[in-house]
Amino acid sequence: MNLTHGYRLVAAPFFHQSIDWSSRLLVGGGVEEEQGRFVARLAWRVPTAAELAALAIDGAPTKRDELDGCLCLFALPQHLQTAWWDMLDRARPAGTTHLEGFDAFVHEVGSLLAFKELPVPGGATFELVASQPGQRSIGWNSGGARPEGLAFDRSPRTPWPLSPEQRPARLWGAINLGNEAIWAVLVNLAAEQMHDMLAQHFPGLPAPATHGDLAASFLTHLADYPPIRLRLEPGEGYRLPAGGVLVDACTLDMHEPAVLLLIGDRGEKGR
Amino acid sequence: MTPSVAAAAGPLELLVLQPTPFCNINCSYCYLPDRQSTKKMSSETLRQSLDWVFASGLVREPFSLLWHAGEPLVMPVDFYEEAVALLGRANQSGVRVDHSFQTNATLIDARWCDFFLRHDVHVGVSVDGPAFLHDRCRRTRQGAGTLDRVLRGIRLLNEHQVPLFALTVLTAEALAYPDELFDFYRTNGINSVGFNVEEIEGPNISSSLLGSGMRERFRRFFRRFVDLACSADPPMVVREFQTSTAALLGPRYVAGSRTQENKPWAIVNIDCEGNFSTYSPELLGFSSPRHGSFALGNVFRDSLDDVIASERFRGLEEEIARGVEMCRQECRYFAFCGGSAPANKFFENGTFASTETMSCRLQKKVCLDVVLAWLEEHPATPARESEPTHA
Repeated sequence: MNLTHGYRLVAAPFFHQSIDWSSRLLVGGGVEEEQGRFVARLAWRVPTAAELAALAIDGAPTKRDELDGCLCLFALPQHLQTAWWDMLDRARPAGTTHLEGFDAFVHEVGSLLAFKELPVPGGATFELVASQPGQRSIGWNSGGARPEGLAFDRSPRTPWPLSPEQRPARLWGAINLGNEAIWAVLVNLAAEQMHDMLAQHFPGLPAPATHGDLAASFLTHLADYPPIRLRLEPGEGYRLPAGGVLVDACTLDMHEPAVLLLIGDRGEKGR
Repeated sequence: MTPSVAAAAGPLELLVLQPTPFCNINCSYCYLPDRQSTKKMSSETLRQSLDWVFASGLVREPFSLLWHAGEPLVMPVDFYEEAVALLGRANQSGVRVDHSFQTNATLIDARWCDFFLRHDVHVGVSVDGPAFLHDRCRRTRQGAGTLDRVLRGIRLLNEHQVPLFALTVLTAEALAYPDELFDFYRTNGINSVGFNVEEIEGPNISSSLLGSGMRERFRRFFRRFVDLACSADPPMVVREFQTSTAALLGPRYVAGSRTQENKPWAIVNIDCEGNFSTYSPELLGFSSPRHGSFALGNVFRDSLDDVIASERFRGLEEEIARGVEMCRQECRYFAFCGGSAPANKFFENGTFASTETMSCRLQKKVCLDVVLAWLEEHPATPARESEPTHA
């Protein structure tokens, strides 16, 4: 299957990043089931010019609602990255898993993102997830609300479709706090587009009742649809587009543990 | 000079000497109309300028000598060695003199560093931050960026342990990047900074900061930068934070009191040919239909008494004083500000008898608002001494 136009990847405004997308992105050869989860097949290649054009745009949209529909790549400034490593250095001798200063650190991250007009949702959650290197998919959901592997940014029990006023709890974005690049694995289509594509190719399928149903149906019936990999350098993060997206991460090329700061939106119920 | 005239003028706090109008770079927002001219101050003019200043009766402590516009380091080190010697001779009463240079740093070498150290010179470096900000405006005449050369100069200053102060011109673009500016300063060993806004002055007839919503954008920028600077270890010194704190916690301006820039003869500016002015340094080299040239005299030709008695100076002083009084009557910030700079009023409003300018809106009012809010949120913070730098 060919990659189609979906949500776009952009450098978040006001972060001044010069991103060579062709060196940041890989296109996959579909997905497969492994131990009850969906993972990207090990068949990555560089994107063609047409695929790059479908995936990324160089200038970020200036209209807020257009930007909300994009995956925004951003980077922490050096002083925040330094603050993170200083915090770890202070924690190491104590041999504790409690990171003193973590709340203040994530407050600073939130302040930065608010200043840059990429505000985290009110009451956002911040969770650190460490993963072993060499994994096709990371076990990044300690709460159990999200299945392993390539899955939606929200609970699989989230109803499908959502009414416009419903705002479920979801993953808002993530930041690479390790000292090696990590790969985000994504499907470049929002839930609505996945649903439309399924209906177009398989008109007889029963309508999904939840986001979990939709994900399983898409990844099973359209298993050849190419996922993408986006390289996140240390200190870089992404804000996911609104509308529900399939997301994962892999640590295949890494030598040291990966550390991701997951930023969650509690949704309407959490407020 | 008669005692009555001397009593009414000054005291002179800041002498700005402009040894050449020439600048080796060509910034897009520069206010200097003759920055391509390679004229240089002669030894004779230098000697006469210093003799004139110290004979004027204006000089008292504290007294600062600033070498400024165009690029002062275009002149050789030997010129300044001679200046120091001549200054020692002219300064017979032994007034303590603080020396300052405002430079783009592109010409700094080890010999300059040695000179700065030997004479305890305060070095202000004009640098606008990372390349994507700095090189947009601060370019060579061929259009190339200058940051690499500036950083080479800053590295030399740091290696020779010459303290430096960074002066950054803020454009609208820069207001989105307080974190990037903070990181830039830290990375390059800079711990003392000041911000100028892109002003409408001379040939720079517009400013990116005139757009709508700019006051709020400037407020957000300054607040974030203050938060970063104050929480750094050690805290970064921010000129606007210091001056605003001093204004809020120190004596108030009242009727009749004036600032350095709007008080006659508190600043004397002398160009390479010995022409002199007072008030804002940016006025020297310009004229107006109403007042003629703002160069009020020449050190070879005119005594201070004659200039003070002249109709041109009295007309200028009357209009500037009227403008200060208008500020006092109309602006609730006056007690902390003392009136906007005459150069900004003239270039923005066309007359000194006017009030608000973009510069006072952003650099004075917004900075005072932000610092007041910050001080209220940090009541235990000791008042910091003000050490304003004019540039």
